[in-house]
Amino acid sequence: MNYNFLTYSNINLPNLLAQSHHANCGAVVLFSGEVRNNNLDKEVQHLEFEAFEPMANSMIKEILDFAKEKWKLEIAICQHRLGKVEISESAVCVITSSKHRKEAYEANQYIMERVKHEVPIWKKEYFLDGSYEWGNNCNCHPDGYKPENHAKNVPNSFLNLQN
Amino acid sequence: MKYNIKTFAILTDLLGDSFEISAENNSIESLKKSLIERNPTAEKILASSRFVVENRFVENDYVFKNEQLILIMPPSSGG
Repeated sequence: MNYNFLTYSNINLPNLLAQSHHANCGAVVLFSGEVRNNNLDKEVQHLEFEAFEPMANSMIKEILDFAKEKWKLEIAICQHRLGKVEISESAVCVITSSKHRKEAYEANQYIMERVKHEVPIWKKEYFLDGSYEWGNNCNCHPDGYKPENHAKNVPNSFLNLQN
Repeated sequence: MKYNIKTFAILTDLLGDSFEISAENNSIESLKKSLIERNPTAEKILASSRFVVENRFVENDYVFKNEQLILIMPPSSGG
């Protein structure tokens, strides 16, 4: 299988959604994390994402496989942008398809949270005033960016990824 | 001990992209000490960073080998 979880091109949301319909599924949830034009009381110009791609791909695959099993999903899709991402473009898309909406919603949020906090992908936020900051805009830090709050230890399931 | 280091994201700004560094012994703590000496402002980020050897995250008690390639990853910030 060719893992295509990371892309330097625009995420094609209609195309991904078109792949997410299944006869067994009454619920399809699509989440698109998009670049907004403001953060930290400053105007955002664009974002740039970088990743350690071999591990990021492996980890996203494992997160999707785990979620499919846990919530009995027929389909679980995740695609994350790398490189420069403009305002209103999708930086990450997660789609979950299941029999009922509860499972699709829960699984979608679970996948998104783990991708955001565990997968080796990093965001650099460029502001219109010429400044930039790494790794801001994280909703787990309501009082500001605290990198020490991010997960530094990962589940054992993420070890031995190449085996 | 001597290591080959590859960093990512903010750690690249603070420490450099790829470089060689020496440490007193083969522990993560010893490596962190050398990295902090290279740039003291990296201390806080290093405290929450993950260390990767041969595509595996390693725990704090991992014992490095001389001249090993070590990837250092700051907290993730995707999405």
